[in-house]
Order: sequence, then structure tokens, then C-alpha cells
Amino acid sequence: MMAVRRKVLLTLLLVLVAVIFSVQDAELNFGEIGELSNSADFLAQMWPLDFSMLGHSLEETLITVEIAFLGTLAGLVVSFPLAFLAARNTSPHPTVYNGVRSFLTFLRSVPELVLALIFVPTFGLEPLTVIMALFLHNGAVLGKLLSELVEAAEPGPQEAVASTGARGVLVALYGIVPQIFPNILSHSFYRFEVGVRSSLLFGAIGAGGIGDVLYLHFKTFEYAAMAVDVLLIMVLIWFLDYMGSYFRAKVI
Amino acid sequence: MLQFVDVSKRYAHGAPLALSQVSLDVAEGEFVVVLGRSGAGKSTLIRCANGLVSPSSGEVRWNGRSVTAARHRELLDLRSEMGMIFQQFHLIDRLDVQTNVMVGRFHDLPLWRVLIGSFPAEVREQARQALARVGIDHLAEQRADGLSGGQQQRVAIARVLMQRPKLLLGDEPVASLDPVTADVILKLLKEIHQQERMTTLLNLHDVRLAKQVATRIVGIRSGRVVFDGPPDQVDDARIREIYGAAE
Repeated sequence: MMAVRRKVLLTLLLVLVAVIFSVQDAELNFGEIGELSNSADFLAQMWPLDFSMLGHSLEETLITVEIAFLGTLAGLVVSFPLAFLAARNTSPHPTVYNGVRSFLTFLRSVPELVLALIFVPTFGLEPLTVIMALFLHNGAVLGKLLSELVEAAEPGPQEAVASTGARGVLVALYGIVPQIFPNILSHSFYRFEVGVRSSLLFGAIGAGGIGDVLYLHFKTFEYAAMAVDVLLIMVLIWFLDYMGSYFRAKVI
Repeated sequence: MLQFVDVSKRYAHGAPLALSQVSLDVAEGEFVVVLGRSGAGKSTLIRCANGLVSPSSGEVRWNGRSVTAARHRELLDLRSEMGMIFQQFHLIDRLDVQTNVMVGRFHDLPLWRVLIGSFPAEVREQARQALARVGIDHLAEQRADGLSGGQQQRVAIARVLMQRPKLLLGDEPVASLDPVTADVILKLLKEIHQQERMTTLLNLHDVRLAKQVATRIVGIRSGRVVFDGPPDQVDDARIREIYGAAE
């Protein structure tokens, strides 16, 4: 009993110390809390909403979605064969298995932002840069997720297809893919949702899409137009959430 | 036709022998039933026949060719001459019945056709005929996982017919079915054995069923062959020898 209490106290103490250090290092100045009215002003200037640029904002919202779509789709296409090379039960050789697996792990450990920065000198602050970053990141993430699905696939149908004398690629395509198909779709759609959020953020650093427009309206003090962009983003995220759950329920 | 020569199998280092120096000759036209308790090594024996399991020592030979030594293309060719059905049917659940049957022709269809799922009309027609032969051609368009156990095993048998093998292997093909359906499926296998002159090697655990269909019975206990003879020699004493005393 005493031991448990001591553990709880020790944990609380550690958390408290961490809070104190964090507050100090971030140089939080709570004195400025009196000027919260500035933020209130900012919010007040959003009203009445300015719909005059709605057409342009809608187009840019579509671009955000398209960037995420292309980046995810390209990632999926590349990850599909890689997943079979990175799965213990379908890889042609342990060296291939280890090699592909390490490569995917390495690529996954590079943040999307860094991947994007690498392409900025080549493509500039443009949608293509974001697509490339999403493509590489999603390729690595989906490659890993799909390889785990391949490894967990039921061996029964694989044995049945193999017993007819069908070659390995057909055992994989008919003995494995149909059973993991719903999960492939579900993972891909989730990565697409994540891709839309990333694409929004990349927009804010100037790479196009609704994130870009929002930041531009902010910088030019067009808060009423910016509020419309925020609403569009909220509707978009809500819509994707809804689509995602509908989709998952439908396929499985 | 199919020979097991001194075949032993140990799945993992330190594990007990699943098969211990099994020698067995299956001749053309036979209907051999392997009897034994669960874990006696029956499934391992059947799986060694087409190389789904590789023996730890000994050799499996098929019409003079070594299954054990076969690799790549050669192994696929050997497998295509043996059809196999399973206790849990192992169909491709999300695909339709007809496609499941056409799997039997994957070995000799051009690779690109199977990759894109474009099967020639004559192959589709053969699949229909194979389904008609097992009495379920009306289910061709249905998804495999919507079928009953008995229907699923019929699909698997149609796949084997499609494959036109010289030998039919069965790993407990009726163990997941109710007694009536089990009888019907086994009768179907016997019929195919007689009409298509298909040599057959099955595992069963039901002695009564085995005696109905077998031309020869092999008893396995703890990975060893303890009986090999005609069904009428399988009496109570033999059964005790194969299955051991109840625990």
C-alpha cells in the first residue's frame, strides 16, 4: 500500500518539475494575458463573413484534396509490391526482406517536412513538392502496414492455390490479396485523410491549396475572407471523417 | 505411382518427430485412406506428397521423379499433377465460385491472363462443367464465403476436377461437415475415383467412413505406420493398435 502511494507521489513530483522547467524555457509571459482583447478584436473582425472570394477558395480546397490524393495513390502503388518483398512469408530471400524493411524504416523516420524541403530547390514551393513528400512518406508507411497484413494473412487459401502448381506471384495475388483487400483500402483512406491535413499545413508555408490561401488572407488582414477559409477546412475535415467511416463500414 | 521412402519430419529443433521413417507406395487406381488420431502425422504425410511440407530426411517420389529434390518450375509441374482438398476448404472467400474453380488451371494458363483475371471462354465453360459435375453449377456467380460447408467442399472438388490431376490428396476433407453431408461428399469422391479413375489418398479419422470407401487402409500412430492392408482386416484389435487406449 505504502509502496503504491510513494510511486504516485514520485510521479506527481516528476510531472511538476517538468512543468516548471517547460514554462521557464518557453519564456511564457502571462502578463500579456491582459491583452487578450486583441484576440477578441481579431475574432470580431471576421464578422460579417466575406464570401466574395469563395469561388477561388473552393478551387484551392479542391487542390489541397488533389495533392493528398495523388501523393497517397502514388505511395500505395509503389508500396504494394514492396510490401510483399518486406513480408517474411512472401519475400524471395532474407536479404531482400531485411533490405526493403530497413529502407522503409529509414524513409519513415524522415519527417514529411524534411522530405518536402529536399524537393523545394527542384520544384519550388509548389504542389508537386508536397505530392513528392507525401508520396515518399506514404510509400514507406503503407509499405510497412501492408507487409504486416501480408504476414498475418491466413495460410489456408495460400496453400490451396499453391497446391495446384500456381507460381508464387499468383499465390500472393489470389491467396493473399483478396483477404487483405478491405484492410488495404481502409489503411489507404486513412493515409489520405492524414495527407489532407499535411497538405493543409504545407499550404501555409506557401505550397498552394486552401492552407496557402488562408495564410495569405491572414497576412493581408482580410479576416472576414479568412473565416470563410476556416469554415471550408472544417467542412472538409468533417466530410472526410464521415466518408472514412462510411467507406470502412461498406467494404468490410 | 507415389512413393514415400523412409520419410521423417521434425518441424523444429527439439520437437518430436511428426513422421518417423515412413515408407509407403501408392499404386495407380488405389483409394488409400490414412487413419490415426489427431497429431499422429496424417496431415504431414499428405503435405509431403506435393511438397507443401519438405521431409527432414527420406524422399518422396512421384512416377520416378523426386518431389523432395524438385525446385521452382519442376516442383510446380509436379504439384499440378496432384489435386488437393482441405478440412477447412480454403477457398478464396471474397471471389466468386467460378473463379475459385478456375484456380485449378492457373498452372497452365498464360501468366498475364491470370494476373489481369481475363480467362478464356473455354476455361470458363470448363469451370461450369466441373461445377455441374459436383451439382452446384447454379452457384457459379456467388461469393465463396456465402456457401455452406458442403457446398464449399464441392467447389474445392470442382477445382481439382478442373486441374485434371492424376492423384487426389485430401487432408480430412469431411471432418468439418455434419455426418450426412460428410457421407455425401465422400460418396462423391468415391464416384470420381471410379469414373475418372482418379487415384486417391485421403486422411480420415472416422473408421466407419474409411471402410466404406477405401481399397486400402494405412494406420499411423505417433508418426509411424502401424497398419497397412485391406479394409476388411481392420477389426477392433487393429483399431486399438492404431488409436491406442482411450486416455
